[in-house]
Formats: sequence, C-alpha cells, structure tokens
Amino acid sequence: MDKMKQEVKEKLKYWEGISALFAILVSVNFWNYSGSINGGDHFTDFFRGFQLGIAMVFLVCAIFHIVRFRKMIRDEEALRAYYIKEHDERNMAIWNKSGGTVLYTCGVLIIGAAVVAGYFDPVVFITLLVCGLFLLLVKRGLCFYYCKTM
Amino acid sequence: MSQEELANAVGTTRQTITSIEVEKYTASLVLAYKIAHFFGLPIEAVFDFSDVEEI
Repeated sequence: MDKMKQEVKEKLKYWEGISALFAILVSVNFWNYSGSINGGDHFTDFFRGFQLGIAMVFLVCAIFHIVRFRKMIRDEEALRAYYIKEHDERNMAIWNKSGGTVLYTCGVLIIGAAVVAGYFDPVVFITLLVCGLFLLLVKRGLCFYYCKTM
Repeated sequence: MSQEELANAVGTTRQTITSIEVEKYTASLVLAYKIAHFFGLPIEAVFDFSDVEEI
C-alpha cells in the first residue's frame, strides 16, 4: 500500500507541474501580455480565444487529476482499485499495443507547442493543433480496437 | 463466485477475467498462477492447453 501511495504521489507532482505550466499560459493569454510577441498583426481575438480555451481545458484536466489523486491518497479502497486498474496486465498490453506512452505524450506536447506557436504564427498553430489531435485520436481508436479484440 | 470477486481476489480487473474466459486474452504466467492458486488447483486443471500449437 505504501508503494501505491508513493506512485500516486509521484503522479500528483507530475499533474501539479502540468497545471502550473498551463496556468502560466492561461495567465499570459488572459492578460494579453503578448498582444503579438513578434509585433505582427495576426494575433486576432479568434486565436487568442482558441488558445485560451485549449490551455484552460488542459488546466481543468490537470486540476481534476490533482483533486482525484489527493482524495485517493486518503482512501485505501480507491487506492487499491486504482492500482489494480493501472497495473492490470491486459490494460497494460492494450496500452502498449496502441502506441504506449509515445503517442499520448507526443500528442499532448504537440498541442502545448501549438498553444505557444499561436503567439507567433497562426498557420503553425493550426497545423500543430491538428497533428496533436490526430495523434490523440489515433491512440484512442487503437485503444478501442484492442479493447474489443483482446 | 462472480467475475468481480475473482478479479479482486487475484488483483486484476473484471474485464480481464471475462477476456480470459472467452479466450480473447491469454493470461500471463503470474496471473495464471494466481488464479490457479486461488482455486487450490494446478494450472493445468484451470487452463486448457490442448489448443497450443507445437512448433
């Protein structure tokens, strides 16, 4: 049980880092610090709103996981259920077969990069966003497929 | 005994037990041992290896 708690605490630190990063992005966007960093005039309200929305979605997800993990540390039953689900061999096989951590991490990082790139170039922003969403969609599709066949 | 109870007893999920029962998923050695040990039987008595191909 201590090992499980340690694992959850490490995940908690990870999500706190993610939430701090996206909180900074939201703050920068909200206070209109950049306007447009490179002095160009492409930084329209649409892109600003889009970026703010994406950054807030990630921030809300991060806060959700932080709250969930903090509750889990205090509840042994929930901790056990979570540990079983995370270390279930079939779930791990499905995760590995569908691209493992690579697709998921790349998708999330590309979307984060899209948010940052949006301050400089809207074309790069849309391209990176579509790529990131595509990777996450492929990951989800493969997970669904292997869930049905395994 | 339900699948959920067996799953809790051997430290896995109900979906995994279901997949093993319908032969969609092959349990690892560790899980097969845990299941057999739970029933107090040898692995060969719990799992059917007659369909395993000889290379």
